[in-house]
Amino acid sequence: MRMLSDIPIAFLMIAAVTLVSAVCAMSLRNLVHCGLCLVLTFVGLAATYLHLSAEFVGFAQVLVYVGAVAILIVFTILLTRNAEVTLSPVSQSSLVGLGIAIAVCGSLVLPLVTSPSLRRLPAQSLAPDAQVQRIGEKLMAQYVIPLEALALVLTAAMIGAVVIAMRDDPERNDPSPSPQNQKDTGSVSNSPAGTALNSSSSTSSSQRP
Amino acid sequence: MQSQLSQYLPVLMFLMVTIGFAVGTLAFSVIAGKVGRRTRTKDIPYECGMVPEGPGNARLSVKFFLVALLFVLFDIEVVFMYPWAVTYKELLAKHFASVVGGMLSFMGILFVGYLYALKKKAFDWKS
Amino acid sequence: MTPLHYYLIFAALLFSVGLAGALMRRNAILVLIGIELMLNAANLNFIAFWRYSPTANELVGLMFVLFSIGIAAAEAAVGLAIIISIYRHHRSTQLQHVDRLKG
Repeated sequence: MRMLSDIPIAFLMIAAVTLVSAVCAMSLRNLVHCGLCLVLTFVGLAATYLHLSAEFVGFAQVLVYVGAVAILIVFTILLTRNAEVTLSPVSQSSLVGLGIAIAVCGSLVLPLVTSPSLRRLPAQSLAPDAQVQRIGEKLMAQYVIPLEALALVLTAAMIGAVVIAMRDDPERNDPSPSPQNQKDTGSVSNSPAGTALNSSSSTSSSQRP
Repeated sequence: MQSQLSQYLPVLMFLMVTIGFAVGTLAFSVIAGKVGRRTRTKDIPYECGMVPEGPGNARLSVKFFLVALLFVLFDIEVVFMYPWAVTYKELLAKHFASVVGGMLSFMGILFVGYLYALKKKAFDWKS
Repeated sequence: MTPLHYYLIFAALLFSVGLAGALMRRNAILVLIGIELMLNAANLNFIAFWRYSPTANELVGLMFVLFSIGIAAAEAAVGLAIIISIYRHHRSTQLQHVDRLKG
């Protein structure tokens, strides 16, 4: 019934690589490895977008996700790395989570497999060479207000992130008492001066019960 | 389908060559290099000294995160400026105000975030 | 060509992987990574439906994904900043350590 050439080999390869790296990103113990697998997942998704002839979105995916978000995640992993790796990486209620995920997966995939109306083939009606220009026209005519709204959201997020990440900055920028600051970083303290992130002497992390 | 796949054949060959080069170099160094005897005590940083304690890596400064944050900001800006720049000339004749004003206000709003980070001394590496 | 439901199944599997990771892992960064994976699966669905729709020239799905990528970047930035702040208070990014309301 189906010919061998009907099987989309390129898509299946891309999908397999992406899914395997996604599973690795969610299941490895070393967080840095998780971040690198996440990069591979994003690259696989960009390749899928190219395969769907959405070149500009693939380009944006590489630029934003692989370029920026992955760097942000890896920096956060390196910033918050600590000694306690003795805990098991999954929580006690992980079986419940796995059950929920499998149920969601089944309820999503089963209708897709059984439904005949989704087996359609792509519309041949677009000219891929002029796609970026068309996006630009749309962006300037129809989507100007969303563009400005996105700029507002991004600015708010950026200001919020700077405020949250640099909360105890006045104490740290204080030029005078730097040795005193570094002395009590080892102790468990909620004082803002004692928890400066960038003091390299704070290797002994607090052991919580 | 076949023609579309054959378009990506050079990319595939390039990937094969690069991956083959990396794997080949590593494999060659394993095969041709002399493998010394390694034990756990030989692998610790100070072989006859103190027993190391705690994590071996210095923690990064939060400034790295802030620089990455700014990178995200400009990245998004570029993603939306690129299609605008492609169509800039054709659209300029038709509706000047929306084309120039829209992008200028977009960049202006995003610039506020940059100015704020600058004002908060997020990029002052001296302290 | 690849039929549409291949892409949809791919996106559903990716979503499930992200959901499983977000529900099962203890580390806050990995939970955020799981959320990113779910967002990406939704983006893939948008692109697939756009490509296979009869009015693909309208570029609706494409524009939606572009804006969604921007929002996701903002979300990741704020989420990771919150994780850094949590780490500063609790010296840990394990979620079961963050059980005090006032820290």
